[in-house]
Amino acid sequence: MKRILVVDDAATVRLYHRNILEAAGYAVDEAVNGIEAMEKALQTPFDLYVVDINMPKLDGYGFLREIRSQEIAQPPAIMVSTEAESNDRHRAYRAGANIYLIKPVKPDGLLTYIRLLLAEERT
Amino acid sequence: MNPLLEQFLSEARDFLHGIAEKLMQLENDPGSTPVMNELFRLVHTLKGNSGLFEFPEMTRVLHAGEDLLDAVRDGRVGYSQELTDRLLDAMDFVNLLVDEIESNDGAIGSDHAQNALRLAESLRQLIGVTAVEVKAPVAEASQASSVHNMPELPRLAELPEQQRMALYREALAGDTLLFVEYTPEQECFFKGEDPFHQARQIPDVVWQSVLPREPWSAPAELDAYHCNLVFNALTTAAPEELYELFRYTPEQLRIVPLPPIVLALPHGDPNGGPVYGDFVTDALGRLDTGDMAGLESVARTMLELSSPSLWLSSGLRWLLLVLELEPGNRYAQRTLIESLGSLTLPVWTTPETAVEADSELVGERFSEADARAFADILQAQREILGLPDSDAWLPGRLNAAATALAACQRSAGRIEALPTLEAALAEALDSVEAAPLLAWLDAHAPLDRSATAESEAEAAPMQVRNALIDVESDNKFGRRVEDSYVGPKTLKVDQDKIDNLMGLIGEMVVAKNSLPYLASRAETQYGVRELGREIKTQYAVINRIAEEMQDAIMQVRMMPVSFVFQRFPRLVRDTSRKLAKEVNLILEGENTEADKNIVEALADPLIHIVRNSLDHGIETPEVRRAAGKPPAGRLTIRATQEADRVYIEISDDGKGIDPTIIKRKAYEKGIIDESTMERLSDQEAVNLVFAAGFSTAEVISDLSGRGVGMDVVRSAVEKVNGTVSLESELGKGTLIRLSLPLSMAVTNVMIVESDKQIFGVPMDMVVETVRVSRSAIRTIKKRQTTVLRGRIVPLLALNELLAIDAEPYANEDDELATLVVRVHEEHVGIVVDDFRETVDIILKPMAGIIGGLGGYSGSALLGDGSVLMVLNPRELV
Repeated sequence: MKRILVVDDAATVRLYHRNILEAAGYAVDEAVNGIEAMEKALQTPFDLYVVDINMPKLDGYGFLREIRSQEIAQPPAIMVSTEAESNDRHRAYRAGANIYLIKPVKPDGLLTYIRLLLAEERT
Repeated sequence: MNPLLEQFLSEARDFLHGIAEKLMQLENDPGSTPVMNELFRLVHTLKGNSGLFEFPEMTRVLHAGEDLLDAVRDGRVGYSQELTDRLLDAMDFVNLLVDEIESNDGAIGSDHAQNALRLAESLRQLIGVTAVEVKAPVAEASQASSVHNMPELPRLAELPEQQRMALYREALAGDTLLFVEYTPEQECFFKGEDPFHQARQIPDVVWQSVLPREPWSAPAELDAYHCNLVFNALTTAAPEELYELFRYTPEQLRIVPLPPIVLALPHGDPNGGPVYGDFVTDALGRLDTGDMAGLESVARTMLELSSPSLWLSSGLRWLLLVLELEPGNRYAQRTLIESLGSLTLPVWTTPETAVEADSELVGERFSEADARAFADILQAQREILGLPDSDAWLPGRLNAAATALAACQRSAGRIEALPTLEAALAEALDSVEAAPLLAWLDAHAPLDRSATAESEAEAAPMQVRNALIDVESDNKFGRRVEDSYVGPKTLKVDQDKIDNLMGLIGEMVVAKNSLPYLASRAETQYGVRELGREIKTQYAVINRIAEEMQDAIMQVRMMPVSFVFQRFPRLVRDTSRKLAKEVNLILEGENTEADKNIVEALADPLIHIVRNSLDHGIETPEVRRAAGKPPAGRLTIRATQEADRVYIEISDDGKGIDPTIIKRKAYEKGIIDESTMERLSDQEAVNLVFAAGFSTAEVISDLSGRGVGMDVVRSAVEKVNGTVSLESELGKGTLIRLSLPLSMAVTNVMIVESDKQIFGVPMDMVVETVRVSRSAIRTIKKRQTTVLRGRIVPLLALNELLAIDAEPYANEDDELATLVVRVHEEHVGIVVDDFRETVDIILKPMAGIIGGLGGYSGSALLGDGSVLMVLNPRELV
C-alpha cells in the first residue's frame, strides 16, 4: 500500500485528507508541523507528502527544504495552501514541492494528482 | 453529526480561545512579532478549515480577519485598540456560529449573513482602500489564471464569425481581449447591489452571458434573495477600467487576458463532413516544410470548392486569416488543420496555461481531468527545473522532480522515456545543475505538442524494464513501515462519553453494594455461612477494583481551572475600559485541577466576583492617585490545591468594604434591625454582603447592579459543597476566598430515619449526632432549643420540616435523636427518629418535575436497590 504523509497543523484538514486518501486505498500518517514531519519522514520512507504551508515550529517550506537536503529517497510533494498567489507557488517549488494546489482542494482533484504522482494507472 | 464536522467544531473552539488569548497578549505587547505571527496563523488556519464546509458566513468573517492581520503583520496597517475590539467582535460572532452549527446539527441559520457582512466590512475598513489598490490589476489578472484556475472559456462560437474575425484583427493590432467573470455575492441584494446593472456597465463588451452558478433548486425551495448568477463577458476594455468599475468588490471579479487565437472557432453546417484526409496530410506536410505559400493556395482552392455555409469552409477561412495575420503561429495553424480533419472545435487555452491537456492521452487510460493534471505536473516540473541551481538542497529537488516526472510518464504509459530520464537525472546530479533534466523534459514533453508520440516499437522491451523498476521501488517502499506508526498521545473525548462512563461506574458501585446484602441473606435466610463468607471475600476484591475505577474516571474528569480563567483577560479588559479604570490582572495557578462539574460551576460566581471587584472595588485612576496608590489597580485570581479542596482567591487592592456603610445599607433595606446594627462586629458587617438582596453600589451600573449580589455567588458555590468567605480592609482592598471540593461525584452521607422512611444527609454538613433528653429542651422565643456545649442550638423536627404528620419518636430513656448540622456557620439540630450508617453514594441531581423541590439535593440508589432521598439542610432549615 502506498504511504502518504499529511503535514498540517489543523486537525480538521488532516482528518479531511485522511478520509479522502484512506477511502482511495492509501495508508496515511499525519504530522502536525514540519518538525514532526521530519521525524516521521526520516524514520520511515513515504511515497508522497501532502504539505500545508503555514505551521508552527517549522513551516511547510522549511520542512521541504530540510527533507530535500537529506540523502534519502525523494518522493514527490504536493503543497496545499490557501495563499493563491504565484509568489507562494514559486517559493513552494523552490523549497522542493512538485505541485502547488490551492485549498479547499476537491477530493477528486487531489486524487487525480496523487494517482499520477504515484504512477498509478486509472481504471 | 459526521466526525469531520465534530473535529472541525472542537478544533475551532481551541483556535478561538487561542485567538482571544493572543489578542490579549498583543494588546500588552503590540510590537511582538511572534505573537502576531501566531495570531495570523490561528486565524488563517481556522479560515482554511471553515473552507472545507459550506459556512460562507464564517469563512467571510475569518477571511477579512486574516487579511487585516496580514496587513498588520506586513506593517501596512498599524496596531490599534480598535483593531483588537473589532477582531474580538468578529471572533465572538464566529464562536456564535460554532455554537449554532453544533446545536443545529451542522447548519447555520440564514439570519447571520447580514452580521457576517457587517463584521467583515468593519474589519476591511481598517485595512483601508489603499490596500486594495496595491495589487497591480494586470498582474493579478494573469495570476488569477494560475495553473489550477483555468477559466471556462466562453462559448465564443456563438458570436458571428464576421465579428470574431474583426475582433481578431483588432486584438492582434494591440487591443487586449479580456475574459471577465463577475460572481456577485450571494447576499448582494441585501447590500443594495444590482448585479445585473453592474454587469451591464462593463464597457466595450463583445460577448456576454449570464449563467446559474449552481443548478437551480426546485421552485418551492428557491431562495429568491440569494444571487445564484455568474456573469461572463468578453471585452476589449482596459483592465484599469474594469477595476475602477468593480472597485468596491474586486474580489468578485476575475479577469483573464485571452490570446486572440481563441476567437478562431469554425462555425457552420457540419453536414459537409470533414475535409478529405489527404488534404490534411498535404497541408500538414506543407506546414512542416515551411511551404506557407503552398499551404495558403491549397486552402484557398479548397475553400472555393466548398459551400461557404459549411463548417469546414469556416475552418478554412480561419486558417487563411491566421496564415495572413499570424504567419509564425505554427501551433495555431496546425491545430486548425487538424480540426478540419476531425470536424471538432479546436481547443484553445489561455496563455498562462501553456499547460494544455495533451489530447492524445485522453482515452482509456486518461480522463480529461487526468490529462490536465498531467500537463499541470509537467509544467510545474518545468518551472521547478528552471529555478536557480544555487540552493543547497538542489539534489533533493532534482530527485523529487525526476520522481514526479517518472511517475507521470509511467501513469501515461510512456515508459519508453524512463531510461533516458534516469540518465538525465544522473547527469544532472553529477553536474549539480538542472539543465540535463530540463533538456530531457523539452525533448519528451515539449511545450509544442508536435514532437509527442515516439515510435511504439520500442515500447515492448521497455515494458520488462519498467516492471523491474516497479518491483524495486515496491521493495524499497514496501517495508512494513506502518508498524512503527506512532499515534497521538492525547485523545479528545466527547464530554457525553465521559458522563456516560461516569454513570455506568456509578451503577456498578451500586450493584457492588448489593453483595453484602446477598452475603447476609446467604447466612441468615439460607443458612449457608461459607457461601456468605466467600461472597464477602469476593466483595472486597470487587470493591477495590470499583474504587480504583472510580478514582481513574475522576482523574479523567479533572480539568484545569484555566478553563474558567481564560475568559478573564477579556472580561477584565472590556469591563475596565467601560468603567474607565486601569486594571492589571494577575492569574496564578491556572493548572490547578478540579472535577469538571466543579470547574464549570465556578464560572458564574467567579465572573460575578470579578465584576464586583472592578465595579465597586477598584477605583478610577484619579481616585487612586489621590489616595497615593498606583493608578492601575491590581486584581489577582489565584487557584491552589490543599488536600481534597481547591481554593480560589480573588483579591484586589481597591477601596475595600466600609463596614459602616454596609451596616447602614443593611438597616435601610431591612436586612438587620437597629439593635443588630449596633452589635455587629466589622467582620460580621462585611459578611452582610452575602445576605439576599444586598447591593452596595452607590450608582446602579449596568455591570453588577442587576439586583443580584453576593448571595447568588454564595448559593452557587454552596451548591457544589463549597464555601465562600470575605475579608476586607478599608482602603486597602478585598479578598474573597472560595473553598471547593476536588470532586463532587461521590458523596458520603449519613442515613437517618424518620417515620419509618430513610433520608440521607451529606456528612460534610454534619457536626455531631446527639441524643437530647426531652427535659433538656426549652422553648425560647417560641422555638424549641437546647444547650449543647454551652451553645444554644435551635431544634427542628424533620417530620415537621417535611410536613410528615407524625410525632418525633423517642427512645426508652425519652431521648430524641438529634443530628446537629452546620448551616451558614450556625449549628442547627434536626430531630429525627434514629441514626443509621454512613454510605458513599453517587448523588444524582433531581430532574424533571421534582427538580424544583428545594429541600433535596438529589437522590441515590442504595445497594438493596431502594432509592435514598438526600436532604439539603441549607434549604430545608
